[in-house]
Amino acid sequence: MNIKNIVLSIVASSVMVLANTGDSIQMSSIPFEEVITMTNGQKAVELKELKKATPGMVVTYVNRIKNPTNQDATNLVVVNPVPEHTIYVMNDTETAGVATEYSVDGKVFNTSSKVFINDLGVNRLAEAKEYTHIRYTIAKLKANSEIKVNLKTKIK
Amino acid sequence: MLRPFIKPYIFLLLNSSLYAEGTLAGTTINNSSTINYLLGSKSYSHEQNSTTFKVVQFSNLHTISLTDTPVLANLGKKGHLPFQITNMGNGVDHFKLQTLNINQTDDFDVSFGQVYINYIGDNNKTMIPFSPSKPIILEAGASIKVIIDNTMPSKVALNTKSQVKLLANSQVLTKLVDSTSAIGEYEITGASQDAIVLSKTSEVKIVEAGQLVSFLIAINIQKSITNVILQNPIEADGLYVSGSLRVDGTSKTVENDGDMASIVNDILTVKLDSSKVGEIYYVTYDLLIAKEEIIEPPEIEEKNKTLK
Repeated sequence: MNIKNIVLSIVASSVMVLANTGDSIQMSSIPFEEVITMTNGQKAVELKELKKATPGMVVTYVNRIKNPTNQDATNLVVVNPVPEHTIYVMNDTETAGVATEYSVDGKVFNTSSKVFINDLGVNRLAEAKEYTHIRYTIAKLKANSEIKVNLKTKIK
Repeated sequence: MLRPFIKPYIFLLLNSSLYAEGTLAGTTINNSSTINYLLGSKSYSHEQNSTTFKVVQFSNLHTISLTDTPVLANLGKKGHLPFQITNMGNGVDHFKLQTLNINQTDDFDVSFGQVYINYIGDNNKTMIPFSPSKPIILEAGASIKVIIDNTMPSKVALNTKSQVKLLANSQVLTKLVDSTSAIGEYEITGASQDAIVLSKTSEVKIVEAGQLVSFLIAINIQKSITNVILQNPIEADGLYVSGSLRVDGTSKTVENDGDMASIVNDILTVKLDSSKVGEIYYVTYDLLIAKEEIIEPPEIEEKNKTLK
């Protein structure tokens, strides 16, 4: 296999898929990579289209939840398992109106200060990298509106 | 102990992924989620279709010299500079080797006809002449040993030193560094006063609990001697990995009397099958580290005499 073929075969691809649910809530998820930029001496982190995914890279999934209907949606609960081969990275910026909870087994969810893991018979506070599932709870999503929640991960 | 193959050979090393870093190239990462909600008074639940991407390959080769101190070699005799190259990337690497004679004007110049490759743990003890026209293919996590087998000048002053740099240039597109290299050093000696010159190295200097560390002991036979027995204290807080002991690549078990190896009171004892003058015998073994490790030099017992 020549290098050109290798390059072609390893280029990362990403797709945005909208759940086809007719007149109901739609969800999409797009992976982005973090790019640090400097503008007038100020450092900023921007999300750019993911082109090459390598181990150690931080990948942020922007989950867009859209309500295209004419009535408000309530009690929205999104459960996002942390993708295999990645670890969760705590996101410092929280989305207004979204309560984020964490789990180490996909069954019991809680805020980060109350997620415990059994480590050789001893319960201790779980680290972000040990989370297996993230749950976003949104009390209300108004008609014809959308909200975005970011799932920040790091490729193992 | 170099036993070159007749013809150059490129091989895919199917070794453990002990030192591989990160998710393997080509792995698909898949993200999906579920949503539940109320729309009016009706409850809905559905799953978001998957979003996927593939992990690409990056190169991360590590080249080290297996000797911290100059390799002692006699005038006109062969010197052996051992190196180790480990693929710490996340995919099969293709790379080329290059040697640089740091002191261009001395008589120690190395050519590719003097470079041999092998991988740690090879049972058939072969060292294959390196062909510069073909890249080496190394699986993620695998290591090869590279030996520069260079004839020393016959007319230079004693204690003359010369350095050779070995470079590995990855052909993989995405890489952390363009090339990785290490320097080995010769030192010309007269006839050694010692019958045996020993060196002991590991591929890492700082270890963590739970880490597997390989050790290499080089036994350089300087005089005609027989009945050479290596006595090596197993490092404190290190657990010998059963089956890891090899002499010149040949597996030795401490349970088999015929292998002439034993571990008693944490002392690893190995008796060499032969001890030809001018040869270097390589003993390797692995330890599982319980906590931070201190590497102690081994002892050699030759008949009733012990050399440190």
